[in-house]
Order: sequence, then structure tokens, then C-alpha cells
Amino acid sequence: MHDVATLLGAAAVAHLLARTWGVPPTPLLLIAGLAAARVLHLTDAFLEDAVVLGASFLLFTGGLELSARRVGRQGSAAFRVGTSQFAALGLLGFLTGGALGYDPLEASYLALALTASSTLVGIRLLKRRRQMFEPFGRLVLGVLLLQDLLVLTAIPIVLALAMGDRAGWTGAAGVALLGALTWAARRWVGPQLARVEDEPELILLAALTLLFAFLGIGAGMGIPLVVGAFLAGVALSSFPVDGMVRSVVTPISDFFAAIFFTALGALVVTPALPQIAHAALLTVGVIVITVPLVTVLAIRSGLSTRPAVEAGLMLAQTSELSLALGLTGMLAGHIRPEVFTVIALVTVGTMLLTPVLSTDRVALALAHRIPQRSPEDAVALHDHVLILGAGSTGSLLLEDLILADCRLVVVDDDPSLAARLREAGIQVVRGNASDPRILAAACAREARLIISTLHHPRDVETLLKMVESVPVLVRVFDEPEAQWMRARGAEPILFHRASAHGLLEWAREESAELDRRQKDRLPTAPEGEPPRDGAPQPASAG
Amino acid sequence: MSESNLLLDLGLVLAAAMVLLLASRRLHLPSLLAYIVAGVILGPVLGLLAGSESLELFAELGVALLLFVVGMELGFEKIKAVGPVAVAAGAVQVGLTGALGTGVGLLFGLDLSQAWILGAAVAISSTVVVIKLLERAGGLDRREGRLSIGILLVQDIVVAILLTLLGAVGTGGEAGDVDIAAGVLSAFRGVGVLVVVGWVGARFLLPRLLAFMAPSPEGLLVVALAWAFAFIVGAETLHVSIELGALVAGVSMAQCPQNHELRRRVHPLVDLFLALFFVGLGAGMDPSALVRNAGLLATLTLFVVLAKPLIIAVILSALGQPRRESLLTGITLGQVSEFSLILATVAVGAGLLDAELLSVLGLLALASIAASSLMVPAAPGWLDGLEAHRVGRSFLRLLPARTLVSVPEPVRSEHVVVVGMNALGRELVEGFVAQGHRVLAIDTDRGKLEGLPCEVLHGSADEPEILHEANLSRARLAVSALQIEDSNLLLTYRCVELGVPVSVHAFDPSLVHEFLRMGADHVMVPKLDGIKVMEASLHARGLLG
Repeated sequence: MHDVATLLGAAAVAHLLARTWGVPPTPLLLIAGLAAARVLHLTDAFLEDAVVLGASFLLFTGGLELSARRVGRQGSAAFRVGTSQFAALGLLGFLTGGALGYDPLEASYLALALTASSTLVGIRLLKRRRQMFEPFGRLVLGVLLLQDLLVLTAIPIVLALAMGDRAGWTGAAGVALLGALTWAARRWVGPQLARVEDEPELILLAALTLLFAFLGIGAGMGIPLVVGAFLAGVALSSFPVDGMVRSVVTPISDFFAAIFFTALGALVVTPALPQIAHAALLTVGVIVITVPLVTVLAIRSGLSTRPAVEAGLMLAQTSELSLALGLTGMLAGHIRPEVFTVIALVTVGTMLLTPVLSTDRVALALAHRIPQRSPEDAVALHDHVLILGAGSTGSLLLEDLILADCRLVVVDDDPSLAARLREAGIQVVRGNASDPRILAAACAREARLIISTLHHPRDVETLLKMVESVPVLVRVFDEPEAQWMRARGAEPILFHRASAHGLLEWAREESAELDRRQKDRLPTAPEGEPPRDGAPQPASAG
Repeated sequence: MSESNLLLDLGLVLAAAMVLLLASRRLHLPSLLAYIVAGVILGPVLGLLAGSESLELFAELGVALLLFVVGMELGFEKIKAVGPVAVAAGAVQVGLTGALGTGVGLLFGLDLSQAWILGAAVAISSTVVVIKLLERAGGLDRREGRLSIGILLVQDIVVAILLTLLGAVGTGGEAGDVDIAAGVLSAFRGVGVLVVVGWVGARFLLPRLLAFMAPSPEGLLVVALAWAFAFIVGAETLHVSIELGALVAGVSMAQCPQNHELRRRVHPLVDLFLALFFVGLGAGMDPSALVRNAGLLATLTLFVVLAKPLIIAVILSALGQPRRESLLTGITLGQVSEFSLILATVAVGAGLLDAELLSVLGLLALASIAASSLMVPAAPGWLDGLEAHRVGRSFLRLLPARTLVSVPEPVRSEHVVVVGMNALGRELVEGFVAQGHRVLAIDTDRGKLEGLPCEVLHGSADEPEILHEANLSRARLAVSALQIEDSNLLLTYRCVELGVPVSVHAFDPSLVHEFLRMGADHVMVPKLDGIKVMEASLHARGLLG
């Protein structure tokens, strides 16, 4: 009990600091564990138990989070990016490991550890910034899913090759068996479980039993724990059962994750100078290779420049899977504790750097560094429709305007987007819409009408000062922005208000139908109070 | 090799628990019973459980965490509200039941020193079981729930005193009154320290700490659990039961606005560990003791299941509580507790009790808990039946007090549920309210729920409990303004299952098809709707078609 309390206390401090500094908690949990182990005595047997359970839950949750549905249309792009990153980083790891004097098995572990980007960090960032369902968010999710699968399939193979005995191949066969079971579970167990949604206890026990069944099979066939746990998660990652399982399993997994990372930190050998140097080298390597590689491939797959850069920055770290992998290797005696220390340090370093690097500003700065291929157009127009911002909304608008044969000029910052529009025959002025020179180049004063679908509506301030008699329609996101626009002579369009009116209109029109459906569901008169405001019952209206 | 033992044990326990849970669902029996039977099968019957330490640790954790959750539910306010009645009732009940239990022991030929331990053990009811049973029916918030918890609290204190006493007597061998008094004093002092720390924490530290961590659900959970564990460890150090420590930790958090969310998040953890606890309980049974002590066991069982509830009901009615609630409380408390077993274990260790009687108590626990699991859910129905018949009413009139009619809680109906108080959500709330509908707004951010012209519910619409609390099945229309595809899909799915019309927010036109395919009645796509407005404006200016 004292041990659990110690680890939890250290974990709580780590979370507090993580929240204060705005970094992911995982690296701080590792450091907290490191500190706790030096200060207090933790019995090794308990630590191993905690770590084993924690790893299982962690990977189970990882498997749950990654469903193919979330990847949407970015599947092939994710495949290209994911396999290339896997190959490149794997090579980096293996060659560097060899050069630094690690034996082939250790170098293999290192290579695999480097290839896995962090699902935890990636998903947390995407959720926090609400970017999970944007194209680049889906790309990142797809890459993470692919990497996890690749790493987990590679483990038994690497072990087989390195150890050279039959046990390794039994392991590979075992993975195939588990894979088949996973597919079966997705088809049959998932839908069955979804039926008992209002019994969280049953869902919890069923999910955990499945997890332990996979772990048991894995242990029997010589497959590392991490593989079985991950596949068990994948087995339950189909809709709608994934959400249900996630809501009951997450608190348990949070608890064990806190203990896992701190316990892991406690198991890490204190780093000496050589390890720190190796780790620093590999950290830089991971970032320097991942960012450009992912960016270029993502642009080639159709993403705009800035999101492509953001995807690259978000994938530039190693993962909890790397840690679990290193741990497995160390406990099995395949790698020395020093190698595990290096893996842990690289993970801590890259994880701490990710939120710092993957900000808007850095992404934009890098995006501007990318050389342009097509030259700027010279624009001399009047009476045209000027569109500011060709993102997802802007491009929808463009489609309709092109069909109506309007004279169009587009202002957008993103190089690859601009290139694509030009290829489609549209005049583009590439640059920032709040820059007066860009607006002048787009002949803003001579336009017939200007429309803004910019992400930051108030960027039109410069434009509004420049332009007097040209009507300006601006997409805004809330009422204060709308008032700001009106005060400066622009016409605000509240998109969400349009949707709200749409629904309210629909609800009014369908009122009779809604009444009928309600009566069918509630045959007896409801008990309790009449409607609070005493307004006429909806049934009597329309 | 401790690693494979733990995983194997856990796997077996979970598998057995799940199998029996499925079976018990078919037979409409409570899960509690399933777990205990699973334990009996794994332990005495099949001899499979090796009894790993980590497993016992988890079981201990389960009980502690449960009391933590209970503490969060309780709060100082509620304790004060039930206070005087429960204290009086608890004290009298323990005394009376203990005395009668001792009598039964004497009847069966035990000497006084063993009989009184038996009596004490029998007087105590199980916090764990009571909470599990009440929770399902939402009974924790009702009067019988609060009375039960109050009486259980008093019993906890009695247990603490008794444990300290036994511990003091055991170690001393020849205990003098001074030693016992010192033991009791130190126990009270320990509890006092914990309460003071809890109060100080609740006043100065917790509100700011929890509010700071609130945006990170994972961090909030870890910090809250660390707080609970600090108290658990503190309790151990002060020689107070860890359950009391966890309870105080929970009570200190009860005033914080995050406590609802925390309780919900800790729940699956508690469920898991408790399942392990009950399986462990079942596994520790010794069925052979049944044969040798059948008479004693049968009498004690009848006493615990029938006489004890009546004693409690009479005491409560005499103290002015409504008859129906008094009976319900009595029935709810009609079992013995894991503490009874702990007490007995300590007594055996101190040489004051036969080991045989420990097994008897274990079987008594199983039998009475099983009876409670069946009786508590059925009791309201029975009482309704009793009240409907003349004979039943005369029987009820034997109880001293007046009957109060229990007021059924009002249930929402024909309302519009709006999830997600972003700009779209707020706009919708105002629109529906203007149309004269009753609206319920749901959001995970408490701040976003302020200043709305309608009822609000704080929580995540992904959780079934929230939707249940929102009376979704009776709603006229469900709307999600959230931009989260996963949540919207889940809500659509659930509404389709319930037959409730649903409209969701689609961030991107490409998602419309999927929502409609799942059965959504209407999809809001601001990008498209807003563009329509823009194009209308262009059209008016002669720029389009």
C-alpha cells in the first residue's frame, strides 16, 4: 500500500507540473519515478507487477484509440508516410546503434523504439486543439495506427532473427493467431457487447477478460505482453463498442498509467554521460528526419503546407510503446539497462519538445521556408470577386462560384494550396491577407465584392481600413466578432447561427411528426410537473 | 516469477467473475452474489487461486476506494443532516443487537468471552454491500440511504474502538485497564488528526488544487487518488483503519464542484477492485465448517436477516423516522460485514476466538449478503404489497411512528436536450426556449453552463449515466452542437436505439452521409449553411446566376 501511495504521490506532482508548464505528463512521470526511487525504497517485486499491469493497460487503451474509421480518407497518405517514416527511422536507429557500439540485438531494439511515435501525445494534442478530424489530424492518427501495427508485428520477427531459434517463429505464428482472433472479436464480440450498454460493470469485466485472454494466449506462445494487449484493444475498437469500453476502461488505465510511468522511471538506471550524449544525438536525429520527411510526403498526398508541417512536428517523438519495448527487452535480458536508459531519455526529450515545437508559429515559420515552384501571378483586375482564405470553407465556396462563372481572385498563405488553385486556372495572390501589399496586389479596392473565410476573422482589419465602397462579407464565429465587424462597415455572417436557424426551422416544420414519435414512445402520460414555463404544449402547436 | 502469478490470478478471477455475472443476469440476481460464488468456485471447489499478495492488495484497495467515493458522496452537510438520529439509532442498535447476538452464542454453549465477540460481529452491517445495493436503484440519495450510511458510520466507529481494544488485549496478554484506555485514546486521536487535516485541506488546499487540475481529467483523477492514498497511509501510520482514512479523504472533497465528475471517474476502478474483493471473500470460505455448526449458523442467519432489520426499524420509528423508510433501512442493513470477519480474525490471532467460529462467520457473511442482495431490491415492492392489504397495514401499525407518503421524484419529459454549449449550442438553447420548449443543456465545462435560460446538467454526454440522468429516453429531441465526431456518432447511435429524434453538428460535409446512414434525423453543417447565406447575399447583388 505504501508503494502505491508513493508512486501515486510522485505521479500527482508530475501531473501538477505538467499542467503548469503545458507539457505532456508522461516524461515528467518518468522523471518523478526516477526521483522517487532515489529517495524512497520501492520493493522490486511490486514494481515489476505494477509495470507489467500498467504496460498491458496502456497498450490496450492504445489499441482502443486507433480505429480505422477515424482515419477517414487519409488512409493511403497515412500508409505512405507511415511506412517511409518507419523505414527511415529504423535505419537511423540501427546504424547509429551499431556505430555507437551496441550489439545487433540492442541496435534492433533501438531501431524499433525510434520508429514509434507517441499515440498518447499525438491524441492528447489533437483532442486539445480540436484538430482530430481535420485532414492532417486524420493523417497523424493513421500514421500512429500503422506504426503501432508495424512495430508490434516486427517485434517477434526481429526476435526470431536475432535469437535464431524456433521460439521466435512460434511467436510470429502466435501473432497471426491473435490477429485472427482480433478480427473475429471485432465481428462478433463487439456488437454483442454494444447491446449491454447500460451495464458498465459487465462491459468492464468482458473487456478485461478479453485482455487477459489475449495476454494468456500470448504468454503461452512466447509473444511479448505488449503485442497481446494492443491487439486486445484493437479487437474492441469498432464502433460503437469502442466508446463504451473506453469510458469504463479509461479511469483504470489512467490509474495504472500513472503508476506505470513512475515505476518505469524508478527502474531506469541513473544516466551517465555516454547515455546522455547518445540520447541527445538520437533525439536530434528523430526530429531532423521526421519533420521534413513527413512534410514532403504529406504535401505530395494532397495536404496544404502548414498542416503538413504540423503533422510532421506532431509525429516527431518516440512513444510509450518504445518504453514498453525497451522494458520488455531489459527484463528479458536482451538489452543492457544502459540501452533502456537511452531509450527512456530519448522518449523524455522528444515528448517534452513536441508541444513546444508543434505550435502554430513554428509551423508557419517552417512552412514559409519551403521553396516555391510556381511564380507569382501579376494581377490587374477590377470588378472581380475577391476571396480571402481558401481553406475547407473557402474551397467549398469557390466550387460554387467557379460554376457560376464569376471572375475570381483568391488570397491565401499556403504555398501548395496556391499552386493547386493556379493549376485549376484560378488567379491567386499568395500571402497573408492582413498585409496591405498583398491586398493591393489583389486589387482589393477595385473588387466588386470581398468575402473572407479566414480562420481569424479580425485579420480583415487592414482590409476594412483600405476599402470604403466595396461590400465585405466576413465569416465570424460569435456575436462579439459580429458587432466588431458591423462597427467597421463589414457584413458579418454567423455560420453557426445559420445552422441553428436551419434546425429550429426544421423542428418547427416537423413538429407534428416529432409529436407523433413522442407519443409512440411514451404511451402513458408523464408523471411529475407540467412544463416549467407554462407555455403551450408543443403538441397543440402546428 | 511474481509477474505470471499476478496475471494468471487476475485473469482467472476476471474470467470467473464475468461468466458468473452473465449467468446472474439471466437469473436477475445481483452482481455481488456472482462474484462471491465465483470466488467459492475458484477457491474451495477448484482450488485454483494461489492467493497472490498483489491480488489481496487490490481487494484492500477496493474497499478503501469505495469508502473514498462514499465520503465524496456524503459531505459534512449530509452527515450533519442525518447526524443525531443516526448516531442515536446506531448506538442503540449496536448495543441491542450485540447483546442479543451474545445471547444466541451463549445459547449454543459458547463461553462469554467468545459469545460477546460473536455478538459484536453480528451487530455490524456491511458498508460495501449496502452501497452496492442502494446505488443501483439510486437509493443513496433517498432517506433510507442516508439513514443507512449514517448508522454504518456509527458502526465504523464502534469497529474502530473494538479493533483497537482487541489489538491492545491481544498484544498485552494480560491487559490492564490502562493499556486498553491508552489504545482507545490513540485510536480517537488518530481519527481526530485525520479529520483536522481533512478539514484544513478542504478549506484551503483542495478547491484551488482541483480547479487547477480540472481541465486535465487524467491529472485530476491522479491528484484525487493521491490525496486519498495520503490519508490511507496516514491512517495506517496512526493505527486507524484505512477505510476510515479513505472516508475522511472523500468527505474532505465533497464540497468541491469536481466531486461529481470524480466520483464517476473513480467508479470503474472501484467496480474492478471490489469484484476482486468479493471473489477473494468467496475464495476464503471453508464449507466444511457448515456441517459442524449448522444449528448455530442457521440461527444466526435468521437473526441477522430477520431480527436485526426489525430491531433497526423499531428504533428508527421510535426516533421519529417514517415507517416505510425505517423498514427499508432495516432490511438494507440486514447482513454482516467484512469488518465482522476482520474483527474475528484479530480475535483469533489474540487467542480469544476459536478458528472454527471464523469459518462460521464467513459462511454467515455469505448467506446474509446473498439474502440482502435478494431482499433489498425487492423490499420496496413488498412494502407496497403490505400497505395495500389490511393485514399488512395492521402489521405496519405495530411500528411506533406515522407513515409518510414517499414522494416520487419528478421526471423530465418532452424536453429538448442540447449537448455542447459552444456558440451553436447556446444559439440553439435560446431558439428552443423562445419556441416555448423545455430545454436541458449539457456540457463538460461548468463555466459554459452559466447564464443559460434553461436547466443544465454538468457532465459528458458520452457517459450512459448522464444520458439517463437527462431522461434522454423521454426527450422530444436530442441535439449535439459538439464538433467531436466520435461523440456525435455515439449520441446518434444511442438516440436511434431509444427512438429519440436526433440532430448533430457535422464539422465537414463529408460526414453528413455517415450520420444520416446511422439514422440521424437532421444534420447541421455550418460550413454549408453559412455558405448558403453568403451565396444568397451574392445572388441579391446579382453576382450569382
